[in-house]
Amino acid sequence: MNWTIPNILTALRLIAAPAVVIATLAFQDPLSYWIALIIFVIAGLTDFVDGYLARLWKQETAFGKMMDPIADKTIVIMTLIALLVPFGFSALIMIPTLVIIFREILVSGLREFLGNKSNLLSVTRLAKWKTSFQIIAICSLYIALLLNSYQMSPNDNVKGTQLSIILNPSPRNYPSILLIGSICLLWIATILTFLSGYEYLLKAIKFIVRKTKMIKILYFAWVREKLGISEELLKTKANNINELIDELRSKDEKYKLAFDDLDIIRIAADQKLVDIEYPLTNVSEVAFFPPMTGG
Amino acid sequence: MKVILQREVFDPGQIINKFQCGLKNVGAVVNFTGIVRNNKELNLKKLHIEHYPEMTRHSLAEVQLSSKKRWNLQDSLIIHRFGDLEINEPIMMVMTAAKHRHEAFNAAEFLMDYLKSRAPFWKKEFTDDGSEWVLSTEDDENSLSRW
Repeated sequence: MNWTIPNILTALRLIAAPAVVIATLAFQDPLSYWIALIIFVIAGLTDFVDGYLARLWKQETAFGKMMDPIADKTIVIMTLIALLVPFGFSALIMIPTLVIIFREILVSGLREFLGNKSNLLSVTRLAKWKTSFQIIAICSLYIALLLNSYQMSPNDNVKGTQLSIILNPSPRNYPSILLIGSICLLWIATILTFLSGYEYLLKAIKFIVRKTKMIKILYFAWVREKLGISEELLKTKANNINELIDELRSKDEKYKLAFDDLDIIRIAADQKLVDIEYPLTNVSEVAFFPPMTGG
Repeated sequence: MKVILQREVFDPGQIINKFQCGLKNVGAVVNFTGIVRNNKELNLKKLHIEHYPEMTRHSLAEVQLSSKKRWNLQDSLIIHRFGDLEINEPIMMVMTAAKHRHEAFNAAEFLMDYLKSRAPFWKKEFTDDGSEWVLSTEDDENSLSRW
């Protein structure tokens, strides 16, 4: 891979994830929360910067495209789970964490299932917003945690105090207001996360249940001779001619041979010459033949 | 304007006469006849032409209409045969009628170029050695681009 600056930033973000977790869990004191917050903020900033720089400097790489979303998801999920400990495994944080994990599994699974069609699920605006909200919500959770630990005497039970603050907020209790605010932010992030996952799911379902249609396929001249048939009815889910040819090729060796060199095949959809990318929407007849030799 | 697709041999002279009969206000009629030639040193026994009838009718009618508009044709006629053809028999005919000869010549050439590379016909030559599909030539493939 290329060690471009955007790629280094992305890789650093991936390394930052366990660092944030260790800082959050190791001592559970203000100093380590500060360290965790600072690492997390820097990592969050690299998320905004790496893609921007990669585009600006024309340094977009396959590594970056692959690693960037992995690094995002890793740091957000790892940090949220680590935060469950100082927040005493409160359901108010647990539920968003679970929803976010489920959404990431869902979207990764859909992308995997769609394979080379996964570009159908390219990143949406909503998905970018949810990442920003997740980062901001996590930062404010750390700030709430920090303010809270400064207000408490060292003897206080951190976990018990946190929970009671959430359950019994009082106007005098400044950290609790911030805590409620950051939990609200986390829930907003969660709703956005859920919606963007739902958006992907709808798109994937639309692709998976695309209609099966009957297409009459005609073959002429040597294409017909190689296949041994002049026409057939095919049940297909192909979206365009390209997919239809892939489907035919996978039928048997004869088709593979006949469609070996697409440069010497001409295509007509509903009796009009078309190119290989032509969509099959509303097409009922497709013909394959060699270059014409009339006149 | 007419497109005729037929298996049977036709008499070009008869068709020219019939075509000219119905014309008014025309100064030029161009007709081109393609003939089955004994290819190279091959001993051509016969020529077989396969076609895609629905597409042929569609596309030829369309291209006829566009040539009529472009060269202000009074009339045009395309005949193309399919099936088995003997040496020296006519394969096809293109006829155009316009006020002036340039329009008639250009339109006829355009229609010929179209027939050569865009109309769904395929020729197969039968010789003593067997049979082979005629390959399209780059010239024919590119000749439409000049229009």
